[in-house]
Amino acid sequence: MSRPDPIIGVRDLKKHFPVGGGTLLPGRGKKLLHAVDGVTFNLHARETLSLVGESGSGKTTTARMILRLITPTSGRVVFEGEDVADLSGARLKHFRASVQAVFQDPWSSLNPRKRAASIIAEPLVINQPLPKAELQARVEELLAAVGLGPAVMRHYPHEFSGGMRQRIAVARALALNPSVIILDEPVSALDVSIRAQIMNLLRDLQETFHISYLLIAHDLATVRYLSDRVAVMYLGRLVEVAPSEELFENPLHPYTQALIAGSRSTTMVDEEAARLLASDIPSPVKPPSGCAFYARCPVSVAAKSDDPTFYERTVTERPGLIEVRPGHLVACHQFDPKD
Amino acid sequence: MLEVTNLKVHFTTRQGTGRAVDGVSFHLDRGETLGLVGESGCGKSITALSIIGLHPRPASRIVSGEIELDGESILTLSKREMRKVRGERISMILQDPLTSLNPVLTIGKQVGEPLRLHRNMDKAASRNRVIELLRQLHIPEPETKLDDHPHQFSGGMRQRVVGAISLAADPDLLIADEPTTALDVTIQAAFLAHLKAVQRARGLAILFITHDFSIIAKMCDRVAVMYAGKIVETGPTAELLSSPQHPYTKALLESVPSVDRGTERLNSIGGSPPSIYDLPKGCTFEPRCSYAMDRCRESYPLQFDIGDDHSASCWLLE
Repeated sequence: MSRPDPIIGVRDLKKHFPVGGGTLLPGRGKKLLHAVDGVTFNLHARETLSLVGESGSGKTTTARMILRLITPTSGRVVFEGEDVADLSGARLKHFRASVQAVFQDPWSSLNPRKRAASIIAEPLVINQPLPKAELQARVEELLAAVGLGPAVMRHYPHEFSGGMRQRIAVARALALNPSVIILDEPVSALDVSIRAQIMNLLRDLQETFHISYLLIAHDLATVRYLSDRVAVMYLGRLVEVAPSEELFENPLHPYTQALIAGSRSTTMVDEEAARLLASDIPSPVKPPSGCAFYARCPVSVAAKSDDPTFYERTVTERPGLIEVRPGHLVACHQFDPKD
Repeated sequence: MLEVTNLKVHFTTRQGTGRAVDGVSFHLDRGETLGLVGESGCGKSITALSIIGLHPRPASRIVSGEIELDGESILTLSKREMRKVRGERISMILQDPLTSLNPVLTIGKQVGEPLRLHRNMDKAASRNRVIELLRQLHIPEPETKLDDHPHQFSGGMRQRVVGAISLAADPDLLIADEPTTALDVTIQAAFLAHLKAVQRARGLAILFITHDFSIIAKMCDRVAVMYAGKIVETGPTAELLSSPQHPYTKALLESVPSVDRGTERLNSIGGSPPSIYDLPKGCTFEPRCSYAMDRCRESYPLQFDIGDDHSASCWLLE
């Protein structure tokens, strides 16, 4: 399946944080925390790609590297054909304008001392100075796009509900006509009844403005509702990437299967499976040399007695991400053609 | 076993009287799980806290109603007697595992506290029991982990410790207030499986507060839907989820995405719940209800029975 060039390409991206060594001399410790450990994917025009995984799987660190908020240890983030790390001057400004973000907590992502109008106008004031009247008109237009009336302009963030604040954060992200918005848990801090409003708004805006979304979320119901494709992360690595419908109907990786089973209203995990799953995620300071999931994986654990060679491989050999069907990639020894 | 009748908990503040819980009645039998759902601010948590006598005081007080445990009122108990009830018969898991443990005490001390206080166990006996409890909750190497402090545990492990504390003294009733919202999906699944197993083994009754319908579907025998301090609909889980009768229940179910459902467009509920300091005269949901009639503005609807143990408060059902 050949597709046009992606808007954002992530190539073997890694981020290792030094740990230990105390707060005065950070980074003196010899240990490295492998937060993101070799991640590769593309984000195409007008699609929603979700990064899912449990806390500590490296989703947010990946997003922060894409936004150029932190520097990768190795690997590249490619935007419109250029390595983001090499950008400067006008190109960097273009990148900053084109790739926007909406964060989880609308209580802390809006400046409490600014009125809604100046929060939304700020990116415009910095990037494309406009006469006052035009600026005002543009802010009103952005507010209308997110379903708010001009009356809110004079108000401060504390006067708004969580849903309204998140709308303002979205309006600010839209101000510079971005091609990509990174949505980091955009609805998880909101009340249940408000979530649908914001999710529907995000869908409508994508339709109107042809934006690509990189959605970071742990709630699979939200992910299924918003995504075209889903990438599942575990311990800093991608374990499965597939079109959303296919992933939910036919998950291949045992970890993806466990996540989906846990989110369904119909399946109750039995005690034995629960015991396995409850064993904690291995430490990213000492990641397993084989498959990151082997200790919690029912297939690997069953193989311990039935198929010792296979078990040995899961423990020692890191599985590569293999395309098993067009667009459906999985990193699991079960699907490795070498067998 | 637990019978709550016409419970009213009001807040008195400068804004006037806030009717946080406004006439709530429900019952819970041994071995049964009742789910309490609704938006934040609808009174779920205050209802739960008032059952164990921990509603915020002096800001709020129980103005009327009755809470009975095995036929005895617990509202008239002294502080001392109430403390005994809290330790031995009712326990509660709070939402945030990271803040509900004491950071300066070892895990063993904290899990063992209810055993020493309420089950009169000595140090050695309680230590053994704690190890057993931690093992049941899949904490690896409980013999050594016992002497660790909370910060040495991951979030998922801490929540399991909180679970172990709440089940340590073998209570009859467990109140779980969004016990899994802070947990990852796989850990959540394991925790729920354990809770079910304990329930089956000991006939534990559970009052489960959540806004997650997938958990309701898996865990609860019956559901009560709360809105603005009142229970608007209650019924057996499967029936309520498949044929909701109250417009609020319907709207709530249509507004939440589900892994089982896919990408069909969600209906969001317009507007927001009324202020508890200024509740409408008629039906509290009327301003947001798409079926509202004149009569809904006039008086709060009576409770109508729809089927076996299934009822809702809406004039449409008359």
